Amino acid sequence: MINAEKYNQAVDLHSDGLYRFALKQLNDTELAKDIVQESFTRLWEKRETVNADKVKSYLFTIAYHLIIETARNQQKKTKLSDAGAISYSGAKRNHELQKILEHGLQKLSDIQRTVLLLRDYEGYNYQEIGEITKLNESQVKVYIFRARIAMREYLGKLENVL
Amino acid sequence: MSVEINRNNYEAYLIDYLDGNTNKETEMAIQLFLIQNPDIEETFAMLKESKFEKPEFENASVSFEHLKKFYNGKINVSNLDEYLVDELENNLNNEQKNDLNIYFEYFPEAKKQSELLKKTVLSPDFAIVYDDKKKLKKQSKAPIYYITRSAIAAAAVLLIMVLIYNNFSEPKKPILSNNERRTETKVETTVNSQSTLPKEKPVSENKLSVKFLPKTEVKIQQMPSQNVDIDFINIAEQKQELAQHTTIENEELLLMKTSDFPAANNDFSDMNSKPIIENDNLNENKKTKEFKTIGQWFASATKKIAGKYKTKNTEDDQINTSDFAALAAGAINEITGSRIRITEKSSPSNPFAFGIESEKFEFK
Repeated sequence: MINAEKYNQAVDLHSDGLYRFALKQLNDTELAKDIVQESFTRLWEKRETVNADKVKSYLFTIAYHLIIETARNQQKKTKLSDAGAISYSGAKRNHELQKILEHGLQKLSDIQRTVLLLRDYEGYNYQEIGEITKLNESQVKVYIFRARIAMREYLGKLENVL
Repeated sequence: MSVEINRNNYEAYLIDYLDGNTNKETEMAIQLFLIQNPDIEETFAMLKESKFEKPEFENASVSFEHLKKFYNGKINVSNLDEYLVDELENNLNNEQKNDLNIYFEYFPEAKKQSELLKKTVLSPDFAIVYDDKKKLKKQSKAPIYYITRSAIAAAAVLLIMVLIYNNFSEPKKPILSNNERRTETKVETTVNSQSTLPKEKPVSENKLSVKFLPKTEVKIQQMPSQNVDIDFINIAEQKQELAQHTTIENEELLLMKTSDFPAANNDFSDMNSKPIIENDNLNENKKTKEFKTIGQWFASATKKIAGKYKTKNTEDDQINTSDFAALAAGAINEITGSRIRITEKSSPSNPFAFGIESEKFEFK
């Protein structure tokens, strides 16, 4: 159970991360804000039953499912085939690397992108990611493996261009 | 013949000949020169004999392969990526880490792949923030507010109890045997409240009177003797003071679950409505009341208490309202062992609505 104070702490602690998570998935600031708003609304509605230690996990679980639903309905996601157009010529390696990686991120499948974001952005372990995405640990590990290799290959191709 | 061998240049031709570096034309020219110059032919014969032949052992195959070092660990091309990702994910044990490092020594390309993989780790852009946090937040309540709420909850509990007692105090008068009449008398003396007790009855244990001090916390607990005790602790004096002691014996009050509890939309004029009594049974050992509804007076009373603290039509007020109602219900539940629940039924058009559900509860 969480009270208003704990809830407000959760807003301070997790709203930014939740927003970034949604934004990277949907590429739409308004939709991402809606996801955050709705996630916290649901948290408040369920405050009597949500374990105070699991607030973050609860929020990301809600957000994850909302994102899937939103992406499916709105079809706002960047299509994988469109994501490859990036000008690397002027990119400075270190400064632009994250930008490049974000483009690479869009090339991943939805589930690969999700597990990678949860892993790298939020530092969740396999079990926690599994709880959020309703996958078992082995599946999570496989998806992360595939995502990493895909990202490496994407990055490798760009490095060869240099 | 273009090759011209003479006594001034024959040495070079002869050496080439001995080394096998001459073509047919040159060989013919050399042989002709030797015929024409027999003295040189002798020298040539000597040269031929002095030529070192390739020793036998030089043709033998000598291998130094055994000196080479080969990687013989568990990593191979097919599982290399797994090792690299596990390295990145920090999933390798020390033995595996060592194995991978050895592999890197043999296959530097694998090390490059490892470095490339490490670059794929994403970092959140902390410049991206959710800037509407204020809208998400709920208004916190000050501590003094909780004290007020406690008092209100107690008031709600007592109000309801008084209403219940009022109904107890006005039982139908069944036709009773003499024995039953004695029982009835006993019941009447043990179930009364201050507001309804006939003046001629003894009231020492049953009188219910409550004072609210400015800073009073209410502690309510069910005693092991199954009596209902309400203790008031004066926080200011840090002294527990038993204000009153109310005993209800051999009584059982049943509130049947109904589906027609009105939500808070009820008009406040229902505040004084009494529950509709369906059955009112009295026998030797217990007295039972069954209510068809408890909704109107209960819902209205609770909402009125909460409603007093509405200040404006905001989401926070809605929360306060339901909190109050839940608090009051919780206090009642604690006293009675009942299961009254407050459920939110708010909607955009009616942000203050909440429902009340009850299963049966009973005094024992």
